[in-house]
Amino acid sequence: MNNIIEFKNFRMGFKDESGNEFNLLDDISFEIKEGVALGVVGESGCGKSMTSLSVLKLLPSGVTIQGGDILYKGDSILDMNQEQMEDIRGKDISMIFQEPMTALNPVHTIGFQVGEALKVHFPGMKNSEIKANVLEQLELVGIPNPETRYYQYPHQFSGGMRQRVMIAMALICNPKLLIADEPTTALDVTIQAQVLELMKNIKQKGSMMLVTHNLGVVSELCDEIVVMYAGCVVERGNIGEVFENPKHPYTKGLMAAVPSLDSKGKELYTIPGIVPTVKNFEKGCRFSPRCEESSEACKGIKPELTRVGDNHFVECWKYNNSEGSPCQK
Amino acid sequence: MSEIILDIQNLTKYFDIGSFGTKKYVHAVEDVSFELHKSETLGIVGESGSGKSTLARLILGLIPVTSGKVYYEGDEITGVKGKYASKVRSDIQMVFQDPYASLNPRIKIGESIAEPIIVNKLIKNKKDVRLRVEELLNLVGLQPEMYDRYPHEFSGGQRQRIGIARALSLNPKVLICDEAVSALDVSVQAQVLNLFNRLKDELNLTYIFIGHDLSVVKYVSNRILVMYLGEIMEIANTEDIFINTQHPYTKALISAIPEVKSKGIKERIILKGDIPSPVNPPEGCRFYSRCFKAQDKCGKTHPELREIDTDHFVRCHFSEKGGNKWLDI
Repeated sequence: MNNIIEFKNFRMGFKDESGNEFNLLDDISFEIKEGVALGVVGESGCGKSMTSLSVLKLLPSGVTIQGGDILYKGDSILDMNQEQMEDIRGKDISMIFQEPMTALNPVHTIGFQVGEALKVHFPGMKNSEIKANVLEQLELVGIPNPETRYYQYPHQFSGGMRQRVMIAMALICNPKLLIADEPTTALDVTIQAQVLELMKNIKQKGSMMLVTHNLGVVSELCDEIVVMYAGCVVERGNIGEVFENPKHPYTKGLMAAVPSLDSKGKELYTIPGIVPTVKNFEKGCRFSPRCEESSEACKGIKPELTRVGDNHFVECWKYNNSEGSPCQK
Repeated sequence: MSEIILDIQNLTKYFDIGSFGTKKYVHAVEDVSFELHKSETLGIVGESGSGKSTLARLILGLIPVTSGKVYYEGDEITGVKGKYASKVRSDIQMVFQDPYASLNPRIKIGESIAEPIIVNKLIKNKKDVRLRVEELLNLVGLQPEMYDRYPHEFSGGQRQRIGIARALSLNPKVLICDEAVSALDVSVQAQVLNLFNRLKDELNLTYIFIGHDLSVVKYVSNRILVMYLGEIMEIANTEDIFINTQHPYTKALISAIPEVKSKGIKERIILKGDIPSPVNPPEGCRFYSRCFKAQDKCGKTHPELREIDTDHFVRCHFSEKGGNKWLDI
């Protein structure tokens, strides 16, 4: 299987007013294979959205790349210029944002907004062709009466319908990779179920990167998972292996903190403390201040990603038996 | 069962949205009756627009009722004014959804918590007020030194704790939590849920817990009330709701929860469409348009809320005592 996107020891951060450099994403390495749906999970402030924005080079100003590379089909995204990036965005890689309420332009019709990407990427396409394409796409994402809906404005759509429009917009150019940033967070459960069903159908067409904090959603949609904490990939691998046998204390904590349908009466497990801000990241393992299994040594040296299964990697000293591991006893 | 603390009888709220002589009403809450027993937790679930928050506001007397009555410890409290109203309002308190919007950014959090105490003249001496606030901060798991800090210095979970401390400042007996954990990350959500459970035991509180996440509501509640389009669809003990589900809507809600599972995906009921407009609610059963078991009868006759088993009320023509096999798909 070919890799669509490959993160290679990617590091990035920013400088504050006084010129001090901070690191945000540290040593991010993972790949998205062709036809695979990958879920990225973690709490708010763990760098999930920054990771997904890095793929499209849509990072906020002031951010500095500190090392590593991101490859799109073997070519470095970081080396591409503005023009090359614009060619990729919306056509080869497209994105669905969290808030369908704010991501659509209120003064343009739905038809115009969905067709815009075609206009930009295929300048030779006739208007009638574009319209036919848009109608087909609207039909595909389950919007009833696409003919009427084509001329309507976003305020005439409900939340679930708007999210479908966003998906239609992202899929119109048949992208190789679809990045979805919290696509169902703002929706009601029954509508979420509808949108998940739709996403299950479209994931057969290409690769997907799903950013979410909801482990249940990942479990339903994805084949592989990346667990992020404070800008680091702490665990990644095949979804079954990770959920069945979570290794990293953070992954275990996240899973235990969700009230499942049968955790009634018991006290919920909580991870002590909160996600640190960038300026307070630990030098060694960034999770160590909140980790119940950490030792003094974890704080000094950052662990490396270690293979613990067929397709299962974890970044924790507990599973690292190499020399110099502080857990060697 | 223990004594009744709140008795809600036929509560109805229409919002007038007519203009220029036309008569139009939003049927927000319609004919809702239930009893709240001392030291129980009643969960209320339903989609956005089903009238959950309006119901909470009606109980608190924040908006006038169209018809119906609310009794608190045997006395009617609908439309009361003056001294008794302020006593009732200090006995029934609310914790709001958005911890970022419910605190004034320019007021120290200690003073935010102290405000209700001062307004209600609970404690007159300024020094004692501060002592009481510090005690409250301690109670919700914050440090008393945080009195002099401003809201922006706190994380979401801490802010929600401040909101809870403020609600507790008047020694309430009933706490209404309106989506109190929805805006929080899973690990923080678990901390706040544990706090709710601890406070309930320590202060002998009674909760109405409004949420849209059934697994969270199940975790905290003794009884669950399911609302749809302003009406009660089903109300029963938590176990009965899940094991002996009687209403198709409840069944769909339960099946819509994405669960963390390593193997196998459960059969899911996908409801068609969105919740209809509450301006012209359907004539027959309000769930008719989306129900997967709908029959001709459902579109014509409006079902009544029936007790089909001890303390198990359902608004559906077809539910009956005993099994729920007919709901299988």
